[in-house]
Amino acid sequence: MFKMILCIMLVTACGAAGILKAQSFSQRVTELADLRDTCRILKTEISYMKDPLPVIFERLGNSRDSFACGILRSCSELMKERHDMQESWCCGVDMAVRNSTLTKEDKAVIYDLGNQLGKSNVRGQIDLLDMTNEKLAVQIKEAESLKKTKGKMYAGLGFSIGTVIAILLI
Amino acid sequence: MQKIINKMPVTLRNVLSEIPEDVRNSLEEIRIRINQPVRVISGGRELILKNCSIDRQAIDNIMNNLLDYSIYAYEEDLAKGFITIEGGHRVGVCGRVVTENGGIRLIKEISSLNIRRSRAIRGASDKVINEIYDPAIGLQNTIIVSPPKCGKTTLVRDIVRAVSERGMRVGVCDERSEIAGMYQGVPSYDLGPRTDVLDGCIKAEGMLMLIRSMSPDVIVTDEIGRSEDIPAIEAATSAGISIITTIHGNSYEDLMASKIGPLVNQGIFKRIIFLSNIPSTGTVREVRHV
Repeated sequence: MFKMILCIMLVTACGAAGILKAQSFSQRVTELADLRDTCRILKTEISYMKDPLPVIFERLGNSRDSFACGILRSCSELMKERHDMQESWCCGVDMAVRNSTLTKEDKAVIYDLGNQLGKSNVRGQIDLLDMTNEKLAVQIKEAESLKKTKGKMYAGLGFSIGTVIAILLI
Repeated sequence: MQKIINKMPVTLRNVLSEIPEDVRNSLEEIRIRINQPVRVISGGRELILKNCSIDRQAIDNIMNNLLDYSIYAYEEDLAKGFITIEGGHRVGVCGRVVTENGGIRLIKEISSLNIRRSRAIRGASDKVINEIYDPAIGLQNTIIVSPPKCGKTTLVRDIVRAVSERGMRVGVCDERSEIAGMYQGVPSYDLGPRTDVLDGCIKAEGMLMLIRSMSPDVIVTDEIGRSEDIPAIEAATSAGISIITTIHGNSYEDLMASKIGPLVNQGIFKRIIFLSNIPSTGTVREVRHV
């Protein structure tokens, strides 16, 4: 009876670990899509409202609770403390990516955006945000493909490993 | 003043914070030129901050701070050669001008900045308010004439407050954001309880917009002088709305020689106020009744 309970717990634990790992692939897609949506809103804000970045960051940052808005919120707060824009952006991104599943390449796209944000006229900013959107679209495509393949694999693998260990224990 | 200092790099911020309080209180301008020490104009005198020289990096940092790291937001202003920052302070800019289709598109490689402090002096209009406003007749159309740096905007700002407090609806068309110093939709100065501000709008269009939308008793605007302004002034006066405005010039002859001369000739302006900076900024040299 004890062995039976242990085996069930083992299979459940391994399965949960697999699902968690699989979820990290979904989370990456969600985070990248959120970044892309925020870039689109940022583009509209810059081209239509033409408010300065600290104002836009504060407004968008407080508009909803999401990964990208977290970056904007942190950046806006750091800029109020008289930090330089690029420095604030890097710190904001660093804070946000601590618990994220983004890859090195995904992060590079966000850091690159911060390096050029606010440094050109409206036309330049629109081009920059369009380019960032395209880069994010490529990353999203890759993340979705990984989610489909590796995501399913990890979810299945967790249960399989758990089952194999349980059988060996029996 | 602190808002201006906060926009400076740390070294310059420290030097500015150390200048004597009386100099800081009467500070008029901060002149920043590349590879030159910063110069401060206070009480009509120039003070050279010798231990504070500005290089390319420093001037770029100052610009970034002044522009809130958002060049795109100030693109149109930069093309005109100045920007207005929080508090209504005007920053004049010199550098390399980039043209497009025969017009100025932007100024880059900034080499000089002139930060002009803007401030409200409550009571600045006390000497003239009774000359231009009579409760029985109302407000007379008034034009304030003076060379730059004689206090035109400060006077007009206090007239707005005084007239608004006397019960008139005032519409301010603040093309250069200097009268109200609007920042994120809030005026930096007390303009009275009955004042509506159309910020950043071209005067000729703004005056007509105010007439249509806000039904003011008075329209106030700064630095007229273009031929496009004339129809807007005529439209306002023919609608029974009073006008208070300013123009660059030194004398009645200068005023008559300007594009506004024909309006003065027609007797549209009943009061002409001449300002001077002798012995001090804001000195009312003459109030002429026409």
